[in-house]
Amino acid sequence: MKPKIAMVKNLQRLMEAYDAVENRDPGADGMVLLYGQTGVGKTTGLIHLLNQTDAIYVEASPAWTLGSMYRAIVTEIGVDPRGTSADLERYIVDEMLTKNRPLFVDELDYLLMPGAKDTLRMLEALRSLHDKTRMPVVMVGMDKIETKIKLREQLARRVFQWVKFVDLDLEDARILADTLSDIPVEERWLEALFAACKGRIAYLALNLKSARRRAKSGRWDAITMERWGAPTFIVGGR
Amino acid sequence: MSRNVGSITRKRAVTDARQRAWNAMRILKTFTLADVGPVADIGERNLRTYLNALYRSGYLAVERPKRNGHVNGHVVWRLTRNSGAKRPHPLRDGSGLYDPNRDQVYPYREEAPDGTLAENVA
Repeated sequence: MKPKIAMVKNLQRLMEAYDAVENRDPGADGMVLLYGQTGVGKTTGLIHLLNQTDAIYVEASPAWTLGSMYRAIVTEIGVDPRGTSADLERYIVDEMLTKNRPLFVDELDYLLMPGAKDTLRMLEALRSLHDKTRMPVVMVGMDKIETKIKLREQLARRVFQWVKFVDLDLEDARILADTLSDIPVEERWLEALFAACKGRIAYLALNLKSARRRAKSGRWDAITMERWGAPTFIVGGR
Repeated sequence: MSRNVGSITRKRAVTDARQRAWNAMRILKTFTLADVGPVADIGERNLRTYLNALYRSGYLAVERPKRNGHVNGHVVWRLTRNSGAKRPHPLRDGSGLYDPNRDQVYPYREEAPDGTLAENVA
């Protein structure tokens, strides 16, 4: 059995937003901001999108300056990062244009930390890469980043899609259950699990896998409260 | 979902399953087989073989060994040689991995005397 990715609503919205960027009107901007707390599947979504788009992926660092940001992107392209910032920018633009590659910048929070150097110039440089290539630029950060970006009106105006990853709801839990378990999962059991895990996808998945295993070895025809016994679930540790 | 004719950009999916897995590992940094498989859309056997090869040529360290009988008992791996965007791939002669990012070959290590290699990967 090939494990499949669960198309929970966060992920659906991300893919829809990206489609909207690809099909936007000519002249419209195509910057995307993906944000949310940890534990709601943001990284999974990002990897999925990366693998769908062959994007250039870089992770911001607190030590980034404009020059090191350019060097990180050029290194990721697979070119020795030599030359002036203008040279490096040209490499990046060429790569994005000729190979139709979008750019993803993860851990964007580092650029917006209080006292971070070059913040404005780096954000402007990302916007400029987008302007010159018209390829999507996807910026990824924690949930507080929305406010920080909105304070920078010029940048905020260029963000075309704001994709917030939120806690999973019961409907998502059902999508996850149906993806992870080939044995039917009773609604009452799923509700109890959902109440215990509070929308954190990692724990939902862990318990579902555990339940599926018990169901397999015990030859249950469904995962139910009755079979499961006490409503105890794993909600800590890895 | 249909795409407008003449859209500005076009999705270009990564077609190589191991490249998708490598991309996932680089972002996750510590991961299990079960973390990588679904998101990289790679079959378990292929992924297992690839993780084994990466480990034997020094790309991965064991963050936590396999725990038999646990739900989430898979080996937790840590990517320790994140050499670049392109996935390392096995040489035809089976002696190691070729790393296109560094244009370098990393030969497979001998199995550790205590048998940890086999145990972790099995």
